[in-house]
Amino acid sequence: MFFEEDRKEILEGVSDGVWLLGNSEQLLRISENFWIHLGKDNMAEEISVEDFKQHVFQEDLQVFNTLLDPEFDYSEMKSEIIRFVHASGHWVWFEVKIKQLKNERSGQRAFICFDISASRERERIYLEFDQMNRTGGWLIDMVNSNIFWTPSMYMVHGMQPDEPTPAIDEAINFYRKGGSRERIKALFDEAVEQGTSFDEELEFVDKLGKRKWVRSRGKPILNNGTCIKVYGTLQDITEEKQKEKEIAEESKRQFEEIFNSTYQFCAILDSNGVILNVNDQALKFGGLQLYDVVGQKFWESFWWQNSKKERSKLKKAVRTSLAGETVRYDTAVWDKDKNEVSIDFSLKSMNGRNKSTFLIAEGRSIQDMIEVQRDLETLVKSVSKHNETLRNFAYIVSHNLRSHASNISLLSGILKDAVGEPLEQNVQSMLEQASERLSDTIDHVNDVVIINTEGEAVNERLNLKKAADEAVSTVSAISENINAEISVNISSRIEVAGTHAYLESVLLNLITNSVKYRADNRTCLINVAAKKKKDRVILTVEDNGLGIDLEKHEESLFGMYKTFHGNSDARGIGLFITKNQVDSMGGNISVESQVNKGTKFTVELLSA
Amino acid sequence: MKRNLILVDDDPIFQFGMQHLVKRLTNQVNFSVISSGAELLEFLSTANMEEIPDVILLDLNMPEMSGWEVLEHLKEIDLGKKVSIYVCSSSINPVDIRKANEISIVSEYVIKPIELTELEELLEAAG
Repeated sequence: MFFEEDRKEILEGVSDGVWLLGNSEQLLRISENFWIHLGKDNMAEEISVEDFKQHVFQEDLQVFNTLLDPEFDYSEMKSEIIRFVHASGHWVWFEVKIKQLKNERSGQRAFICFDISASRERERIYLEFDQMNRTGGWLIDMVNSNIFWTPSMYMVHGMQPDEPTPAIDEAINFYRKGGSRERIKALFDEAVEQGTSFDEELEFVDKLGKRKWVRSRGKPILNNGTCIKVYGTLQDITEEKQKEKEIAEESKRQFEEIFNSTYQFCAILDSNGVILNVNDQALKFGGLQLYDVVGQKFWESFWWQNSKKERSKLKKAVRTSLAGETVRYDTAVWDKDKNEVSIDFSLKSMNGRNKSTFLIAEGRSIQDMIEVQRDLETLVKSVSKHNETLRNFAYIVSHNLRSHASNISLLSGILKDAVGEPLEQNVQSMLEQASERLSDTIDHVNDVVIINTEGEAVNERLNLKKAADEAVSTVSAISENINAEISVNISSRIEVAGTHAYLESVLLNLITNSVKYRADNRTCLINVAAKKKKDRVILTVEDNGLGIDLEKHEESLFGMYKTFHGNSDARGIGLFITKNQVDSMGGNISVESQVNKGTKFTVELLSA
Repeated sequence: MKRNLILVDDDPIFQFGMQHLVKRLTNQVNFSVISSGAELLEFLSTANMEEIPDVILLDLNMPEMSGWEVLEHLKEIDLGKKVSIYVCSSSINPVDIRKANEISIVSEYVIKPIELTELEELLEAAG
């Protein structure tokens, strides 16, 4: 009997296959269940060693040969792991245990096989996972200082799997000096002494000198409060860190791009109001370089040196915004030429890293807007002034037209009543007078309307001396009659821009007024003079006449139908028309006067 | 007893017209004309009680002293009896009308021309 049936049964029952090697060393008896594990049916019970080798996975032949070596030491139960080829092509892992049988046929050996493919496959997958995650696992026995590393630990350390595992101190030296190494030491000691876990991202240099980032995690195992083991993982996170860094750099680049290309002025301040950064717009606006302002208190920087009041307001705003409130107001700052420019200014606080607070200051120039608004306000003022003038003009015209018209109706009523009766006064001549005045008034209205609708009358170059001489000569008949002395002191080179008819009318009206309102008790002296002042010509007509009580009349002096002297031929229209004519030539008229001393009219005209 | 009516106006045509109207209306009124504010104030300062007017018709638009200035002076004078003062102007400017009505001593603002019936009512109202 080659084999004891009952023993075979037992061995087959507790294993996944049994081979028996006889003394010949040439023939193997293989149990049926072994072949079943290889998916191979109907195999002969006995097979030659050479034929059996056909079923061994190529790479494991060497191990198989050692197993069958007669010199193999069987003194104790040994085992090896050998892969066999399955019928479908994949390999099946077996742990093969060898047993020297101590039966009557001494020298016979039994090989008991256990299919460990499933656990091997799991291990392989775990290893692949570890490699994929670039994560190694480790375990340190604190009692005997034994260190266990999973294969991926070697990969993370840039080591070969067959190199000896480093001791604790050696392993710690892989961490980069100057921060990480000291940190891991402290964390490990803390884990051992205080039983705390750790999880940190640290810098690392592998055996090949490659700088890496690792995530190092560790956890102690305690027994009665004493740490007996520490285990953990080490993950190579260099790629993630690199990506993180790239993202951070990209977002920093984008931030700087936005920061510097926006049309707003931006500054970043720390929680003390010290400038950390300023964008290009703000620097260019102030004609500054970054190093001029970084490190300065914001309110002490160049832009805010225009006003002490604004500086203290800003200081207060910094405090307010640090309290979490957004501050926004209109203010003015200096540009590079120290011109004040209006800005819409805002300050808001942001939370930075590590609970720090910083402030973002923004400014938008609203100078253009303010100028437009100012122009608009001026325009509105001028329009409403014009409207007011027009309204007054309308009432005055209406007053005068109505007063003449009502006189006419009054007189015609009297005529009607008095048919056949003698009239004590000459109603007819009164009627003529009233209608004449009515037509005069209409003429005046016409004059004024024409002056005001023709727009600016500055189309001609007019020699001022020539015009003044003409006006003096026009009034000569009267002035000679009363022995008035009229002098013209104007350089013949002075030329003004205007309209001949208006200039003539202005001069004539002012000189005529001086003649009319002369003081009877002294010789009438009239001085017409002019001088140039920048792009203006200042014309003055001065007399020693009755004068005007300006306290009473200044406001209404240039109004319509205002008279001040009770002169019978005063029509109260002259100065009104004069003012309108001067205005339409782009000029200005003003008066100085003292009662019983004299009057001086000053007319500012545009120089030609 | 005849009542005294004084017209203060520089316009001779209006003076004539008013005189004519008063004469047509009644013979119970002593009508007199004063051509300027200064003359009125001068008259009032020297007039005896019988000469103080019961009614004054006051023009606004006069040279030298306007009706407004006259009113300023009249506010300061104690005439010793009630005098009805009517502002009488061609101006229909609401600013003028409001301003006149705000002056306590002005009874009414009358817009020229004055009709016969209007003058009658005015004299009756003045008592």
